[in-house]
Parts: sequence; C-alpha cells; structure tokens
Amino acid sequence: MKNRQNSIEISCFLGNEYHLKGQWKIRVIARKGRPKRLIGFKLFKILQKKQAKTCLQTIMSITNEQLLIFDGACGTTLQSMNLPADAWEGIDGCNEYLNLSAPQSIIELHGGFLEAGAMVIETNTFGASSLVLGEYGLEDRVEEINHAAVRNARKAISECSRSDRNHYVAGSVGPTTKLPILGHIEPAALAASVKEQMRALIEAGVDCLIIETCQDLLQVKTVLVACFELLEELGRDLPVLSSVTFEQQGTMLVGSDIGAVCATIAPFPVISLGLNCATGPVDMEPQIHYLSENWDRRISCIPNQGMPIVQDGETVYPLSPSGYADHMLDFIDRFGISIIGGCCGTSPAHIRALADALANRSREVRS
Amino acid sequence: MKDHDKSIPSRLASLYQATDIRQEIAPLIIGERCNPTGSKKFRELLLEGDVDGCLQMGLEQERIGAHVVDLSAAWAGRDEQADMKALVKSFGKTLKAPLMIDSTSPKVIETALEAYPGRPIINSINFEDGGEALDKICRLAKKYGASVTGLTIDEQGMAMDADKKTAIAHRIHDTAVERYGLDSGDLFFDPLTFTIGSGDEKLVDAAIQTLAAIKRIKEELPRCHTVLGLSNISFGLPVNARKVLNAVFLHEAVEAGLDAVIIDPANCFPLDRIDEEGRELALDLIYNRQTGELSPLMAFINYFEDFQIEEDEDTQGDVEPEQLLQQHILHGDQRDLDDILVMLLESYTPLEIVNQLLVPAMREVGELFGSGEMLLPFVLQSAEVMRKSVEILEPRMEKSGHDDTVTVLLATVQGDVHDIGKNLVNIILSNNGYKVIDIGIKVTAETIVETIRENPQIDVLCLSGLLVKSAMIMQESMEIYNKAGLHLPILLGGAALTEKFVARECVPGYGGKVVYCRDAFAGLRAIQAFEAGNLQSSQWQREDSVKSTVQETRVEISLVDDIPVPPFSGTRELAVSSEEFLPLLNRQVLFRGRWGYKKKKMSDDEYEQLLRSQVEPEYDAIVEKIHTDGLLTPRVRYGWFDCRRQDDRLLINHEGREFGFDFPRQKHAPHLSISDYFRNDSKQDLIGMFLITLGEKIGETAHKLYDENRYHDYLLLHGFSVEAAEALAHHVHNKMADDLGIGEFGQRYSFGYSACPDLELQRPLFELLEGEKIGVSLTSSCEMTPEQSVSAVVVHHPEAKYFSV
Repeated sequence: MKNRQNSIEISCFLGNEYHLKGQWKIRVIARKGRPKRLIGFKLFKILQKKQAKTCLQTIMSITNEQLLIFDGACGTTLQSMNLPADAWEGIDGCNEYLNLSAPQSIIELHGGFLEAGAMVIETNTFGASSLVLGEYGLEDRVEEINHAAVRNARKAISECSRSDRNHYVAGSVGPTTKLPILGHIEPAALAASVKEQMRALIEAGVDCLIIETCQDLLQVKTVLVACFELLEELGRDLPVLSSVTFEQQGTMLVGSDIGAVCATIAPFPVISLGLNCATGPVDMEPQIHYLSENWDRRISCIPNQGMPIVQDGETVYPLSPSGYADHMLDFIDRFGISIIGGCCGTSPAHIRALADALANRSREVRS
Repeated sequence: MKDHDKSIPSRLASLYQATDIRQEIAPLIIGERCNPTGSKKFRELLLEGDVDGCLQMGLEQERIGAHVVDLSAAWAGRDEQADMKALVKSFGKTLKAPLMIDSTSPKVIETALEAYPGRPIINSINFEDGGEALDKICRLAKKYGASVTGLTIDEQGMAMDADKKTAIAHRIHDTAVERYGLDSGDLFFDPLTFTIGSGDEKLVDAAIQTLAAIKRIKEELPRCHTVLGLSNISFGLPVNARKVLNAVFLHEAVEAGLDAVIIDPANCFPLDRIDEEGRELALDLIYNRQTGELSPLMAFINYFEDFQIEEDEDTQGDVEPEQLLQQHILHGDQRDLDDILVMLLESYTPLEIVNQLLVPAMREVGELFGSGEMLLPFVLQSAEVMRKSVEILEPRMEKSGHDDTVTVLLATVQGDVHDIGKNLVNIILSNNGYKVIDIGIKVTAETIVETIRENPQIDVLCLSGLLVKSAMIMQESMEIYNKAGLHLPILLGGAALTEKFVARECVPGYGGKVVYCRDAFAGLRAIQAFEAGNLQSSQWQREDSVKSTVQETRVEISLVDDIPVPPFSGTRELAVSSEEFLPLLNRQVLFRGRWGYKKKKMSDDEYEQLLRSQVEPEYDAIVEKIHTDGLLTPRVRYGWFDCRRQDDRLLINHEGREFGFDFPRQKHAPHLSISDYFRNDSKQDLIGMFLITLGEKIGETAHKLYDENRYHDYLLLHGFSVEAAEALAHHVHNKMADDLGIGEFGQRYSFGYSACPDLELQRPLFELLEGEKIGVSLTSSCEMTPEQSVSAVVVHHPEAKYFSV
C-alpha cells in the first residue's frame, strides 16, 4: 500500500536505532540542519532521547498505522452515564464544559472506549469554538476548555491498561451551529473562530485534528483553508482528517453530492476523507463506494448505529455491536476503508465488538 | 484492499456536483455570457444591481449546456470586488455548473474564492507584469484548492507563434508547480487566438499557430488542460460567417487536443448544418490555403455574403412533413411543431410518429454528438424538440396500459447526468402501455436495490448511461444486484456499451438475465419478449463471427417467410375517379404546409375561425373548379413482380428481361436500405409498383395562373394538385394492400423522396409499368411529366417504415 504521507518529520537521536512496533526500523544518520531522506523520512531536529521516543510513537505512527480504530459516541454515551445534573454547574447542555466541571467523567468516558480497544480518542471539543461556546456565554474560555479536553484525553490514555496497541488523541473540530452557504455567517468569521479553537488544540498537543460532521461544503472548505493556514503559521505538519455528513437521501444537508465533496477537498493535504454521523453504515455505502474509486488517500467511516427509533419513550439506535462490526469488516474488505469508529449510538460495547472482530481476523490470517 | 495507485481525473465542483475537466466527448463548454464586457444584457443587469437577473443568465447558460459558467464583474466605475462577492454568493448557492472566476485582480479573486463552496477555475494568470499578479493568484489557487488558467502572455506581450506560446506555457507551469506547489492537473493553458477575419497579413497563420500550440502543450505538458476563448478567431466577419468559422475552428481545435472552450453556443452553427463547400472554405481560411484566384479570406467572405442557414428560410411548403420533423429535431427547431405534427397525424398514429420518426431522428442526433459534429447545447435543443413533440402527441395517444402490465424501473447510473437516452426509453415504454418508474440520473446501485425492495411490483430494471465509465459502473453493479438477491431481468443501454461487452462482462456477474439494448426500440422489444416469456441474455460468439462494421450497426430486420400471393403478376391499369381518392387528400398538409396557413400563436378558436372563414371556402372553390373545368384526368398503372435480392440490389425478371434496382443505403445508423425488407439468398420475394398521374390539364392551368401573375391562385391550385396526387398514390397503395390482404401493413417509397432520392432509379419502374400508356414520360433528368405524377415501389414487409438516406 502506498501512502502519500510517508514523508514526515520525526525527531530522534543521532546514531540511535529505533524499533517501532515491528513495522519500521530507523537508524538516524543525519545531522541537524541537513535534512536527508531515509526510508521515506525527513530527519530534522535532534532532541533528547526521551522526547524522541514520544515523537516516534505518536507522530509517525498515526499515519502509518494500517488501521485506526476511533472511539464511539460522546453525547449518547454521556447520557447513558447518568451524570448528576450539577455536573454541568448550571451550563446545561454544554458537554464541552464538562472538561472543566467534571473532568473525571470525561476521563471515564474516554477510558471506556480505550479499554474496549479504541486506538484514537477524540477530544470532547466538538462544540468548543467561540461560535458555539458563545451560546452559553463561554466565548472567552475557548483555550481553557480545549486545553482541558486534551489533558483529559491524555490522562485517560495514561491510565489505560491495554498495551496491545498505540493510543492517540484526535482534536475534534465540529461544524459549529452556523451554515455559511445559507448566509448564517461570513466565511471569514467562521474561519477566525475555528482557527482559535484549532490553535488551542494544537498547542495542547493533539496527535491529529479531525474536522468532522461537516454539513456544508463551504463550511468544510473554509475550515480546511483556515487549518492549513494555521499549520503553516505554526510551522507544523500535523495530520488532518476530514469527515462529512450525508443525509439519508444521499447528499449533504444543502444538496452536495459525494463527487462535489471529493473534488473540492482533494486539493487540500488532508490524510483522509470519509463520512460520519446522520445515518448508519447501510446508507453510507454509496458514498464510501464512490470514495473507494475516486479518492486517492485514506477513507474513514464513522457511522451512527443506524437510524434512531423511539422505544419506550427513549431514542434508541438499532444496530447491535456484532451487526455494526460485521458492516465495518465488510467495508474494510470491499472498499478499503482504514479509519473506523462510531458516531451517535456507539457504545464501548460496539467498539469492543469491532476491535475483537479485527483481532480475531488478524489471528486467523496469521495462523 | 483498494488500489491506491489509480489516478483520479482532475475535476471541478460546484456546491452540488463534480465536473470532469476532460469530458468524455470534448470539449468542456464554458459559457461566456455572464460577463459585462461580452454581454450587453449582463452589463445592464449588473449596472442595475440586479443580482437575480444576473443569476437567471447563469442558469440559462447552464440550461443550454454549459458545463462551467464564466463569471466576470469587471466594469469601469463599479466596485468589482463588491459585485463579485454578491454574484458569487448567489451563483455559488444555485448553479450546478462550477464557476470560472474571471478577473485580473487578486483581491477580487480572493473574495470570490472565499465565498465559493466548490472548486472553481481562476481565469487567469500570465507574465505580462513579470509575475507580480501571478505570484498572488497562484498562492490563492493553492490556498483555496482552485484550478487556474494561464494565458500565453509575457513581458513582451501576447505570444503570436506556437513556439512562443508553448514556451510561455512551460514557464507558467514550472513556476506554478515548483514555486507554488500547484499540481499540473490544476492548470489550464489558453494559447490565445487572433482573428483571421480581418485581412491583416501578419495574422493569416494565426489559427495555424494556435492549433500547433494546442498540440504541443498537450504533448509536452500532458497532465495540463487547454482552453480557448473561441470567438476571437472570427472577429470582424459578418455574423453568419462568424458562426461557421467558429464552429469549424472549434472542431479543428478539439481534434488538436483542446479540452475546454469559452463560448456562447449561439455564436456557433452545428457542423452538420454547414455544407461541404462552406466547410472547405472555412478550412482553407484556417489553414491559409489558397486554392483559386481569391485569397482564402475573400473566398470565404464571398461565399458567405448571402449565406443563409435553412432556419432563415420558410420553404417548408415543398418538404414532406416526415422530413420536416426530422429536420426540426436535428436543428433543435421548435417552430411550427404543432402544424407539422397535425399534418403527420393524418397518416400516422401518434405512437408511429414517436417510434418511426422522432426516435430515429434523435438517434441521428446522438451519433452526431458522439462523432464530435454536434456540441452538447445543440443536442439539448434537439431533445427539447423531442420532448415538446411528445407533449403535443401525448393527449392523442390511446394508452393501452392495464393494471397487470409490466412495470419497469428506469435510471441513469451513478456518476452520469446524461438523461436523453433514458428519457427516450421512458417515452417509448410508457407510450407503449408499460408502467415506468423513472428515478432519474446519477442513481447508485444501492438506491436501485432499495427501490426494488420497496416496489415489489417492478418486473424489469433498465439502466442507461452515456459515458464509458457508466459501462464500467454497470459491470461492477452486477455483483451488487446479485448479492442483493435480485433476479429480475436487467436491460442495459448506452453509447459506450456493446453486445460483446454486455455478454462478456455483465452477463456472468448476475444470476438473472442481462440484455444489451442498442436503442430504445431494442428496449421495447426486450420488454415484449419478457412479456412473451422468451427474453434471453445477450450472447457473444467467437471473434471470427464478427460481421462487417456496417452490418454490425445495422438494425436486424427479421425477414418474413410467408410471402403474400398477389392476385396477378405483371402490369395492369386501374380505373379511378376523383370521388374515390379526393377524400383521402391530407387537408392538414395542404392547409398548413402547402398553403402556409399555419396556426403559429393563434388560439384553437382563432385558427378554427380562419379555416372556416377563409381556407375551407378556398378549398371548396377549387374542388368546384376542378369539376366544372374537368381539370383532373387521373390514370393509374400498377403491377406485382417476383423479385430476388442480391446484397443491396433488387432484381426482377419480367418477360425474359432482367431489371435491377440499386436502392441507396443510409450512411448513418441504422444504415437502412429499402432492399433490407426483401429476402436475401436467392429466395423469391414480391414487390409492388405503381405509377399515377393527374394528367396535364391541372398543371397547365396552374402555370397559366402563374404567367398571369395570379400568384395566390397559383399557390392554391398548385398546392392542391400536389396533395391530390399524393391522395391518389395513397388510394392506390390501399388498393394494393387490399389485394394482398395485408390491411394497413407495408410501406410505399416514392422516387425523389427521402428513402430513395435518386430519380434515375425509376427508369426500370417506367419500363415495367409502361408509363407511356397513361401519358407519363421521363425527361432527360428523369423527372416525370406531367408534373403531378407519382411513382412508387410498394413493400409488403410489416416492419417497413419511413426513413431517409
């Protein structure tokens, strides 16, 4: 498998040898200031050995992991955790505020998915831009909330008992609550707000950014422009994932088809494009199929557990953990998707079913 | 795992959909009208601040077939940036076609890029200022993921020759790619055209240089695209000459490798409507070839001085309505459609008009498009005429549909927006009484499966798609249908499909039947076969059984085994009186066609009034005059002959002599010839012939009116005589059909008409029927005298139909 992202920065120690999960072995031969290519890597800075280890495990691996298992739902899982009402400290409905008011609950939320087998956990920052936080009067606390969210995610990873896989933190960037194509907001104002959030996430040390649940092509394009402008300003080369949301009728909310999305996002150096939210895997199939033939990088698929139904007065997502895992394995086989996870309705049990099914299968392949 | 090495074609996108830069049938059409410099109307709307009006013009560009819409807001004295912002917001949220952002100002371009949701083309960059603007615009293209057009202009000005044009293209390419990180596939080059219509000696080879530059840029920078602003080539020439030169030059440019053209389709004639000589003269001008005494420019101008394309003439009176309808479809001409159809309805059922006239004409349009002779906007116009015609005919159709009829699911496959073929199938099937569920364009296999699950009454699935990639998608989807547990028959149709491809690549992938349908009729036949329970999957035998290319595309005419028995063999005279055949006279053709009383925009009542107060009294007066003056002396000879077919030649042995008819064959699909309706392989068949005349007197009387300058009376009488002769021919054909007991079947083909325009071919008919016995003779050019005479062969084959060679 070829990967455009095989040329990345790493930081390591001259003369040392590093073994990385059996996939890569690197001997550092270049000196500072003289970048050289070595099995596809650019070597830039020489740091302390300890730091180098961290870098090698994180930056390099996330783009070279053959398969990335993301976590499940934040919102619906929080609901099922039955947090006491005072956890929100009066800022009802703002889950991002829980990063500050109830960090232990958020760590527990992440921990559930990590123990289930997730490799990547998304920070609890879906609505942590000034545009959304402003609706709760929290527009001045963007940096604080995003920093806390990354801290909580890191804490969860450090407490995780599983050592059979690498763990990463993805900074979650949601669509805000405004659609620029419908004139709800000027693209420049949207860009400024989301840029502030992304800056905070990057500063706090996320391993990648995921721009997700995009419902408006102009919104995702605006955020991508802002994101890569920011990375250039910061001199960083952080992996960026993009994920759009398709309604059941097969287009984004304002009518864009997958071809338009693909052609518009293709020029941006994102490492992946895929779908999340709105529907279950069945409804995503035509778009994922299209991507498998028209997108030259990684494909992500992070579905809801089907279309919600109301049962005994409660909203329920119908897909069972094993049913969900079957769909994902099928998509991996048929469409080569390599970033998988779950959106609304995805419990740790779903992620466990997926991770176990994958582990079983790789055992079968080996034996 | 998926193949990461595959190359994804360069695409543009609007908010709604993606557009391939390399169109399968080139060129990518960029509509140029939304530009205040180029369009007075757009300018006025812009100056009034009428953004909605501007948007309507954008939508119009899209409607007439533009794949991309060029948008400029530059007008002296206006705030270009503010105008551009307002326009892009409005266009970007509405148009399905991606935009070309047309401005020289980086600031304006950034405003547009920021507000535009999809992936546009920036128009344009160059090196005129040494690269200052180019630097800014390339950065913007990179930042916003846009594609960009480079003009071959540098510090010395516009490049005139191919070497310089190519060199500047390289310079722009290298700078954009190496310095700004753009991809070669993001770049368009416009090698500029200058007029060859001004007589400027320095510009006589301007077209040659541009064409050479297109070729070289495509060779040397193969991943880049080429684009031209077309109309410059003909600047300074009269309007019609411009339209011809533009069309011919565009065709040459596409041949040279042009990917995209900035154009107003209204400024081009479709190539098939430019005569051979006009086209040659245009080519002489383009390639600067002097063939006579005149310079190519003078020869071209002289020729087009009084050049008129048919639409400007109104000589419809002399053309058969069948041919008229065909021309209207081919030319996208909607005028007088009502009148033409009413004329045809006298001799055809509405369904026959659709099946025998409209669909074959549309097929011809499709072939012209496929061969690059017709641009998409013209195809759309033709389809519109087709649609309008069916709309007019539909209320008159008796739908034979009943509740238990076959239900068909119809769709254009994923990634394909071309629905002309699909719509034809819909028209044919639904008008033949089948239920059609049409779920539109770009339909994914998954949606199809879902629709079939939700509608268990669906019996047959029909998939359509124009593009090569659609054929691939059909092939791949077979597995999906199979996996979904479908069993129903699948009919596949589309320009890129072949029987072989379907049989080899699609049939094996699906458990049910898969059938290739070369056109809408084949689709109808397949549904009928399904109903009869004998539908078969497409098959393909070994390669060596491939027939010649002409035969491959020919319609298979199944030959009849039961040759009818005629009441006699040889020739006879038939006695007729005007009372017998005048009731058959086609009054619609006479009134609307020959006499020119068209309905145009009159209401039904107004037209009825006109007929009653003026037209019918004129008709009655003529009939009266005919009787009192004895103007008609009708005579008929007809006969039945045994015949044999040798390839395209039909042979008749009569009284020890052999007579041969070499019927012409269509040069375009379906490559029909009258001889196709006869049995081959030395089996005997039967042909009928007749010759009728109204006698000399009616023609003489008409000419006398003409000589007396009584033109209106002449027109009335002459028109009447033509239709009266037709009515007599019709009468004789009916009589002959009765003789054979074949009722309404069979077809007569008259010499000098569309299926057999060559009058020479009627010589053997004349000898066989002994025309002189009823006072008809042939002139040296094989025309009949008296003028009102008709000769025809009568074909008994039940599938014989009207066509034109």
